[in-house]
Amino acid sequence: MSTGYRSSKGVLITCDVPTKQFIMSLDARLACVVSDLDATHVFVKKDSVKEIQRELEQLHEKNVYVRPRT
Amino acid sequence: MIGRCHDFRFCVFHGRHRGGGGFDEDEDAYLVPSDWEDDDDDEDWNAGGTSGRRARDLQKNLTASRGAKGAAASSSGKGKTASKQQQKQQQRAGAANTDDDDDDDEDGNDSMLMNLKDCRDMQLKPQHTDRPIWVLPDGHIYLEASSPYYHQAYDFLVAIAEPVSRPEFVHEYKLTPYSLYAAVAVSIDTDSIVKVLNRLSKTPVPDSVETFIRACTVSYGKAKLVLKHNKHYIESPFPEVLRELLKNPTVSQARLGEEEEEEVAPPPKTGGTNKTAAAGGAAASGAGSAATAAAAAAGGARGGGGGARGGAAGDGFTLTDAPQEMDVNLEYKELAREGDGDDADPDVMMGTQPGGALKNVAFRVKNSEVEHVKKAANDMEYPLMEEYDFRNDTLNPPLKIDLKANTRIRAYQEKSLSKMFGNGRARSGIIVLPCGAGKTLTGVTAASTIKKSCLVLCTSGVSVLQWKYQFQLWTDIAEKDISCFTSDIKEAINEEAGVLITTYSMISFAGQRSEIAKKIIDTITKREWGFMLLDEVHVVPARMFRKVLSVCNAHCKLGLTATLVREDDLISDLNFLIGPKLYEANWMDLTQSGYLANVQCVEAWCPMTAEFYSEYLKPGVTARQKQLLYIMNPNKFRTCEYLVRTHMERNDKVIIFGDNVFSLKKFATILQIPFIYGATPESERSRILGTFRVNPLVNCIGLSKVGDTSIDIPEANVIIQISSHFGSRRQEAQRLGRILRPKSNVDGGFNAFFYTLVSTDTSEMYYSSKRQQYLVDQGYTFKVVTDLANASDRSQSKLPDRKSELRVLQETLMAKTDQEEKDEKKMLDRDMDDIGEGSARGTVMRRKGNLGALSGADGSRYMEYDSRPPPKKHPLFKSRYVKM
Repeated sequence: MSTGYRSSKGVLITCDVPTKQFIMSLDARLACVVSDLDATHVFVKKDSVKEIQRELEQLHEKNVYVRPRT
Repeated sequence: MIGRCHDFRFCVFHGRHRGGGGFDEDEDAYLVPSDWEDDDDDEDWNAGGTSGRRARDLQKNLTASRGAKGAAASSSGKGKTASKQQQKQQQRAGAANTDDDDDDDEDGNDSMLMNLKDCRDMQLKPQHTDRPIWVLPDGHIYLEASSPYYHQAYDFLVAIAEPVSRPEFVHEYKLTPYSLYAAVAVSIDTDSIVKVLNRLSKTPVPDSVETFIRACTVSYGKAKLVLKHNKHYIESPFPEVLRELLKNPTVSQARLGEEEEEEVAPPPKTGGTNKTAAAGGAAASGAGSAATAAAAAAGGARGGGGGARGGAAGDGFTLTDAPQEMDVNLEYKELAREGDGDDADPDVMMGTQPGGALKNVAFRVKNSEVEHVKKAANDMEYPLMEEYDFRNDTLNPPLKIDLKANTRIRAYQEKSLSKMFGNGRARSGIIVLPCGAGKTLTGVTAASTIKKSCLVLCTSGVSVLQWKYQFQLWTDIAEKDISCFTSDIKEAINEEAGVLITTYSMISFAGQRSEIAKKIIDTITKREWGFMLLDEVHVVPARMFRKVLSVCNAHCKLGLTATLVREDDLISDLNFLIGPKLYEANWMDLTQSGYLANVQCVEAWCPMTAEFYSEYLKPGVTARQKQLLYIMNPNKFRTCEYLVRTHMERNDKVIIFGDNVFSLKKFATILQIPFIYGATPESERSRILGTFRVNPLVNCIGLSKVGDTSIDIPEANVIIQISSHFGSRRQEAQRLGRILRPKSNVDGGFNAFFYTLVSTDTSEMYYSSKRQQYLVDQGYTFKVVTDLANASDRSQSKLPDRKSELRVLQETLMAKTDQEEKDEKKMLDRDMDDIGEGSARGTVMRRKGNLGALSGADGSRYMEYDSRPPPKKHPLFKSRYVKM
């Protein structure tokens, strides 16, 4: 510990700008972000990846219009 | 389930024999499991009153048969109840009609793939490659646009079915009770519908469809309310129908000239149009039986009428020649005849008598009772179609109006009018033509055909003036015969006959009116209008329209619109209030023949910037703020800037549409372009528009939603839409309409552009695709472009760096939009763009003041001057004069 470096396990997510912002907004609730790297990269905890994917799916679902069938 | 469905069909079949007997006792036969109701197309079936109920019931019948047949493979709930064999069919994968030469279906229409239907049990007929349509058991019809018979089939289908979607290769239509009602209205009889459908279809027409058509057409359109010589007649080719109607006490009481003339047909009081004498002396002796028997024979097409024929003698209906339908509208009959000649007797099949014209029977009703009769007939499921025999109307003075010699009417305009005047009388109904396709000219032509007093209702003061201008442009109407009635202009109507152009709000306004306005309204109310033209009829909800109808009395009503859609269900009643949809033009056909500009629709995706999106995602942000954030997205601004620059270089005329006033202002200010919104004064408006039209240096303007309709800018050919009214399909179509006027540089390619800028990952995506549905159904394809924002050079932009973006963000978050929205709303209320509940009319303003001010004593005082020299006064009366 004397070196001052700490290692933690996680997943590096590369995504577009808005998606990264979305993940950051999830952080308040899920506490998933380990390190905010730059505009398109974010390092998150491994066990919250599933949850993030689900939330993203939901977001996309919400913004897609499906035509009601007659 | 299958058993029930069977029961139901049986009931409908009996329903027609019982006619107006009501359906109450069989009510439970109409009950269908509630999960079926999901299939109902609510928009279409929400008509008020009992007619609507009938329509819904009929549709349930169709739905029921669909469920029982297991035709809709996509809904699993139905599959469970279907028989084992059908289940097996459903389990087999794959779409229905791909097993032969019909590959177009897949290329042309995505929506079909989303809703697979299993139709493999349908057998193809011989020569199916020559036949253009598919008829599915659920009433949907698919038409191949590549077929050589496309044009004939199109004309026929558009008359009998509702167009659902009309992309390039395969069109989808749907049979609905209303569409069939409309078909009967333009005198296409039941047997012709079935026959022609069968002739055109690649597969035999399913029984369920035929049952549906017969059930729908059995009573609709059979009886007509005709006005001749200011006497109302109820007329029908089928005596049984009249007899059925007369069973109703209201109708029979309203009947005129009955008991004492029972044995002989009532001689027409004026002897003008009732051709009793012409009908071979039928009226002379034993007239009643001869006449009705002949008429009953004419109505022989209708099965099951025979039993009632014996009692015909005592009815004493007037016998008239049925008006001949124009040949144009009878083309479909040719269609039925050609091809294989194995039909035993085409004439009988078509319901025409070999020897001559159809005969009609009629009886007269009291004018005062007409409203009640109409209502009673509606309740009996025999809605009366209104026709106006304007050529024989001698009571209302004629209007001197003729089309100018140089006025040319386009083919589709003529076609739509031929539907209206098909039998020499004027039918009430709605004509749907795209924006820019000359709706006004169609209306003007109709008015000059009828040549009676004409009432034109439009949505705003601006369009009132445009209508007046168009009337004077196309016809030779005298200045004194045409008058406007708006909040600004109040012109008296010509005493005899004239054209009056006004707005819906002026007529339906319930509050206190000024004296002159009151006088005009009185004239309107008293006048018997020959023709009522309703412009942009889709903006008027039924409730409003009823109010208008209660004020004005018109013989014939014509509704004009480009987009018969509304997000709320307020227009479904129009079918019964105005009349059936007489004609709907195909946008793509008009584009191909050069009547409309060829528009490239583009949806440009603009990713949100990091800062804007993180604000957007913050919890507790209101929907309104979110909307502002995705509109003000800097990437959107840069895309817009890029597009404006590109098109300016091409010398195009660009309109930027923004629903949100704050963003429009912001965009316009940064781009340094003039813009118009609700609070812009009238003078500045016309100045800006005038400059835009003629000045080659001003090539771009911003418009808020006040410019959605009724601003005519033929020069504009590019629209950039930065924000819009949520998912309003109508607004999308209306905005597109601003650039649809044909352009001069026709070189085959696209000559107009319609861009929608959408911020990705926001709810704008949802709204945008919803909005496009209507245009997609008309055959427009939206090209999606994703990289426009980065294609442009940032350094040229007015928002080059992050710092400026943050400044915009700051302003956006601080924005107070209330005042602007209020201005906008006030303006729209005045314009009545959308006449609805929210209208702020009649609100009271309270202001402090004193009595002196009210009496006029506050400011200037009353003075009287006399310029003449003072008269000589006798000194004796000096004291009588007040010193001035």
